[in-house]
Parts: sequence; C-alpha cells; structure tokens
Amino acid sequence: MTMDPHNKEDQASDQGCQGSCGCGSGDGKVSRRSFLRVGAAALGGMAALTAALSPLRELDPDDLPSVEEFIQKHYKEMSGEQMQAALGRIEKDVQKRFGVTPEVADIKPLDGVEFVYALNLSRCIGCRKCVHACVAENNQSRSPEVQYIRVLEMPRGTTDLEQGDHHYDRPKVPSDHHYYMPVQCHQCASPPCVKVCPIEATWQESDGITVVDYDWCIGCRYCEAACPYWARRFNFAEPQIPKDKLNKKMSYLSNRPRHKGVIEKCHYCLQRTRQGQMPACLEVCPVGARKFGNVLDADSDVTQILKHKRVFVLKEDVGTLPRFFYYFDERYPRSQGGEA
Amino acid sequence: MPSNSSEKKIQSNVAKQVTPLIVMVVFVLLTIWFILDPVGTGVPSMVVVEVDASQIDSSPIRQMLGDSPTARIGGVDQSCTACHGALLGTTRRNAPLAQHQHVKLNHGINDDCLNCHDAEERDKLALRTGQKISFKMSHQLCAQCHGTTYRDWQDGMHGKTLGSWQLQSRQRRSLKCVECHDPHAPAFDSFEPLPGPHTLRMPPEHQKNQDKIDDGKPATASPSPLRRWSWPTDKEGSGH
Ligand code: HEC
Ligand code: HEC
Ligand code: HEC
Ligand code: HEC
Repeated sequence: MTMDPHNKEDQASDQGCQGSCGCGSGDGKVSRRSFLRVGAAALGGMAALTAALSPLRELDPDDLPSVEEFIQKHYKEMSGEQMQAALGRIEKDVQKRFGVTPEVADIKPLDGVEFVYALNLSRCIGCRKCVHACVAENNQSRSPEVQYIRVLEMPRGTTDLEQGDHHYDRPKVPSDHHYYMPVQCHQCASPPCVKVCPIEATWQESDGITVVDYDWCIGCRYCEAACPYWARRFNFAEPQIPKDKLNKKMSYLSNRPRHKGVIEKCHYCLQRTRQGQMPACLEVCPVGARKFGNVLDADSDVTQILKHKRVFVLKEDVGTLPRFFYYFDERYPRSQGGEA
Repeated sequence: MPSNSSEKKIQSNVAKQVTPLIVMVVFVLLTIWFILDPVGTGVPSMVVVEVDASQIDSSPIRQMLGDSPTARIGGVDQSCTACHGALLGTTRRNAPLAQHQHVKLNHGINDDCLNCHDAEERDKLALRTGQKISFKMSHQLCAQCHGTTYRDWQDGMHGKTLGSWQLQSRQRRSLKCVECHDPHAPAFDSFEPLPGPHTLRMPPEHQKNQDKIDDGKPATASPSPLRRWSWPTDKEGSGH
C-alpha cells in the first residue's frame, strides 16, 4: 500500500514529534496548528472550570462568619465575659437577620435535676400539635422545613418502626386501626451522637440534655448518621422564619436562630425547663399524653410512671439508655373494644 | 510489512490531532451543562403553610363551670337556682326533659342526671353518700366510679399538668377531669390533624425550588399526591 497523499501535509507538520506527547514538536517549536488545537482545548477547560465555580457568585458575604464568631472559644472554655460578648453578638446577628431584638441568655442546668420524658401511647391521637408548638417555640426553619418531633402512625399490634408512616393525611385522627408514636431526641444517657462528634460540638449536660453549640458545629453530620432515632436535623439552607413568628426568648444552647450548615435537635426546651416550666410539646398536648419531670425527685410525675406503668424504650438493644419512655395504659378506651 | 506500520503511524497521527478537539468538545459540553444547571444544586424547599397560633394554643379543651354554675338557656347564662328550687321542686328520673336538651348523656350505664347532680340544690353535685360538693370539686364525683384513673390523675399519670414540673411550684396546675372530658359524654372527639412533614420525602414535582413561606391562612391538611397510606387491610384490622 502506498501512502495516502492527503496525509502528507499533516505528517510534514508533525515531523520531529516522535515523542508520546500530543503537543507541539519535540524540538521545542510549537506549530501554529497544534498550538491552536491545544489552546482551544485549554480555553474550553478554563470555561468549564469557571462555570463549575459559578455558584460562588451567589456567595453572600453575610453568610461568612464574623471575626468575633471566628475567634470565639468553645462553649465550655468561654469565661463569663466572653459569653456576654458572644450573647451580644448573637443579639446583633438576630437583629440584622430578622429585625427584632431578642433576649438571649445562657441558661445553665439546675443542680439535682435529671430530666426524663414519658409518653402515654394509649392517649396520643396523632394530632401533631406538639410538632408545630415545638417549631414555634424553638425557632425552627419553616423553609426548608425543620421539625424535631416526628409522629408515626403505627398499625396496632406492633412496635416495629419500619411499619410507621409519617405522612398520614386523614381528615380526622385517630384512626381506629392505628396508634400514634411521636419520636424526638431521647436524650440518651449513652449518646452515640456525642461519641462520634470529631470536635466536641455536642455534649451531654448534667441534667441529661444533649446540647449542640451551633457556633462550634462544622456540619459534618456524623451525629445525624449515628443517631438510631433519627432525631437530629441538618440545616441544608439558610433557615427562614417569618419575623413575627420568632420566639424572642432565646438561649445560647437551644432556640437561638441557627445558620445554614449546622445540626440541631430537641433539647427538651431547655430555655423553659431549666427555669421550671414544662416543654412546649407537653403544654400543647390536648390529651395529656406527654409527661415530663425530674427523675431524681421520688414524687415527680415521671418517677410515678416509671414505678407504676409498664414503660419501654425504643431500640433498647442498641444500648443508648434513653431518657424518653413510652407506656401504654392497661386498657384501650371503650371505642377500641376495652372496658371501663 | 512496511505499509502496515505506516498505516499505524497515520492512525496515531490522526488520533493526536483529534484528541484536543474531542477534549475541547467535552469541555464545551461541560460548560453548557454547568451553566444551564439542569439537575440543580439548590436545596429543594417548598411552600410551607404556617400553622396559625390558635391551632397550637395550650389552653384546656373545655372551660369548667366553677362555683356559681350557670346554664345557657335562651342565649342567656342563668344560675341553676333561678329555675330549680322555687319553681321546679320535684324531679323525674330518666324522663325526657323539658329543658337542657343539649345535654345528651353518653356515659355508659351512668345514665341518670341525679347520679351526679344534687336533687335539691342544683348548684351542687352529690356524691353517693349524699354529701353535697361544689361544681369546682367535680373530680371527687368522678373518683367514685373511676378509682384507678383518679389515682393515676392524682399521681400525675392521667390528665395533664401545666406550668411547672417542680412539684412545689405555684405555677403548677393540674387540669380537672371536666376540663378535658364532657361529664355527660366523656369520650374524646376525633381531631383534625395539623399538616404533616415535608422534609422526609422529596416534594411533589410542581413544588420544587419554591423558596416561599406562605403565612396568614391557617393550615389545613390537604391530600397530597404522594400520600402513602391506604385504608387498613384485613391484616391490619385483625391485629388487635
Ligand atoms: C331556665 C330555667 C332553668 C335553669 C336556669 C336551669 N334549669 Fe335545670 N331544668 C329546667 C327544667 C325546666 C328542667 C326539666 C324538668 C322536667 O322536665 O321535669 C330541668 C331539669 C334539670 C335536670 C334533670 C333532673 C330533673 O330535675 O328533672 C338537671 C340535672 C338540671 N336541670 C340541672 C341544672 C343545672 C346544674 C343548672 C345550672 C347550671 C340548671 N339545671 C339550670 C330548667 C332550668
Ligand atoms: C357523670 C355525672 C353527671 C351526670 C350523669 C349528669 N351531669 Fe350534668 N354536669 C355534671 C358536671 C360535673 C357538670 C359541671 C361541668 C363543668 O364544670 O364544666 C355538669 C353540668 C351540667 C349543666 C350545666 C352546664 C351545661 O352544659 O349547661 C347542666 C344543665 C347539666 N349538667 C344537666 C344535666 C342533665 C339534664 C343530666 C341528665 C340528663 C345530667 N346533667 C347528668 C355531671 C353530670
Ligand atoms: C356513677 C358512676 C360514674 C361517675 C360518677 C362517673 N362515671 Fe365515667 N363512666 C361510668 C361508667 C359506668 C362508664 C363506662 C362506660 C362503658 O365503658 O360502657 C364510664 C366511662 C367513662 C369514660 C370512658 C368513656 C369512653 O367511651 O371511653 C370517661 C372518660 C369517663 N367515664 C369520665 C368520667 C368523668 C370525667 C366523670 C366525672 C365528671 C365521670 N366519668 C363520672 C360511670 C361513672
Ligand atoms: C388532659 C386531659 C384529661 C384530663 C384532665 C383527664 N382525662 Fe381522662 N382521658 C383523657 C383522654 C385523652 C382519654 C382517652 C379517651 C378517649 O380516647 O376517648 C381519657 C380517658 C379516660 C377514661 C377512660 C379509661 C381509659 O383509661 O382510657 C376515664 C375513666 C377517664 N379518662 C377519667 C378521667 C378522670 C376521672 C379524670 C379526672 C380525675 C380525667 N379523666 C382527667 C384525657 C384527660
């Protein structure tokens, strides 16, 4: 076979480039054609890179942490003065974001108190009032939606969470064939979420509440994955809260507004409960299914329940030792075929 | 064969010239992809209907009557003694009443007005022993027949305690039986549930990427196209 005449020219221009490189010639000279070819490819690459980085255009300088926030110490290492400064900064931040002046405090645990929650599954009717009272109390993002409490509609006769449905959508509750199981943070005595945190941004306090320092959290979401109860929520976008709905009574470790990229979770309304009040989800419950109190007090509601009712915890076998107990009364109401 | 090797050479030369072009085309396509952003890098969020404050009000379901009870008759609140006593002395048990038609007893075999109301003094309730108690103490009435529930209530296991978990707190208040139960028909009505979560599943297609909060109107649970439940099957029904 003879050489194809059409290729002569190309071959000539590529003379000297016997190396493996596809670029220019081996003797250091770059021919115009190869330069243009490679140049075009490089230009295309640059364009693609720029386009890929284009979301950075939407970066709002306000999203970046302020210098004060950046140099702020870990919660446990802050002195009283430094905490005051941090609270002042948060107040200003809230003012800037929402245009309202909050009262931000750092409320400490009480001595001789260990909080426990108990929930009566024979009473709960699945009305979801607790879910929304919690959102209002704790300044959770409305869009994207963040809710600490999930209410599962469970078929009667099983406690298998896999069979629960979050999205039940009936005109009226309860359904005769189901019971309802609200799930929120269980404030475990052996919390896996705390163990996995690489930077100690979440820890258990002396009253049993596991808290998150939203300024320390780096958003790695290990804790979210570690929680067997699906109790932690991540802020995928900047939380949105209508400013007239903001709860102005805030605490550092609980319901102050969060920023994008941090984890949050139920903290038994510590801004209320550490001042003697009941959690918001309990106050709103129309059937009195929710019970809360100090388990170190022998006469408290929850101690009585632990003593007299057959309580159980979710996923006991994973060894988390929850401080959140469920119980049934001995009978179902008459409408469910029980007797008085 | 020399012709064979030169063919190979030609092929490799062609490849060398074409590669940058292919690379460029790929980059251009990538650029278009990144700019058009067809998949979307945003967080899907949706219109969230704000729940009205009245829907998460923590005041009791019922208002209890208290010490000077009144009955709403003809749109006016009148005290019991306005009619009973002077005008209406005698009482009939279990007969159709000329008044109080809105009181429909649905309390099991507890079907006599005078099981609970005092025959002579209508602004009092009466225990089995004949002892008169004020309306404010109506839980003592219930205690006679619902001993276990009453004991649970006393220990804070039934009913609801508001205000404070600290036992000695003055804010602490336990709701009375009649603040939840209608004494005449004590079973609970069903409730309209508040809207369910949106975070736990992807939003319906038409609601994607709408970053809006719609507050104002109270929320209603509207049927969603992605609803997962269906009416209970026989299997579920026979589970209890
Ligand atoms: C407008 C006048 C009026 C007022 C006010 C009134 N009642 Fe009556 N009540 C009646 C009449 C009339 C009857 C029916 C008597 C009958 O049919 O024999 C009746 C019947 C009753 C009965 C049924 C037992 C019976 O005596 O036959 C009860 C219990 C009762 N009333 C309780 C009350 C209580 C409690 C109040 C106050 C909260 C009250 N009433 C206020 C007019 C009144
Ligand atoms: C289980 C005990 C019980 C029985 C039985 C009972 N009542 Fe009552 N009734 C009460 C109590 C307790 C109150 C006070 C409720 C409150 O404080 O809200 C009350 C309140 C009332 C009132 C005033 C409030 C209203 O709804 O207007 C009337 C009238 C009344 N009862 C009539 C009757 C009549 C008539 C009957 C019989 C058909 C009857 N009751 C049977 C316990 C009873
Ligand atoms: C004279 C006895 C008696 C008194 C007093 C009494 N009850 Fe009852 N109650 C009954 C009986 C009997 C039933 C059983 C109904 C059934 O299961 O058929 C019942 C049932 C109930 C139920 C269950 C209803 C259901 O369908 O699930 C409730 C709740 C209740 N009572 C509340 C009260 C309250 C609150 C009071 C006080 C205002 C009260 N009862 C006073 C006898 C009484
Ligand atoms: C926070 C509201 C609340 C209060 C206060 C309350 N209950 Fe109940 N009670 C309920 C609910 C909810 C049920 C479930 C009833 C149903 O499903 O129809 C119930 C059920 C009952 C039953 C039916 C038996 C059972 O265990 O299911 C009785 C009897 C009863 N209550 C008596 C009382 C008595 C007596 C008092 C006062 C000492 C009282 N309740 C106070 C909410 C309340």
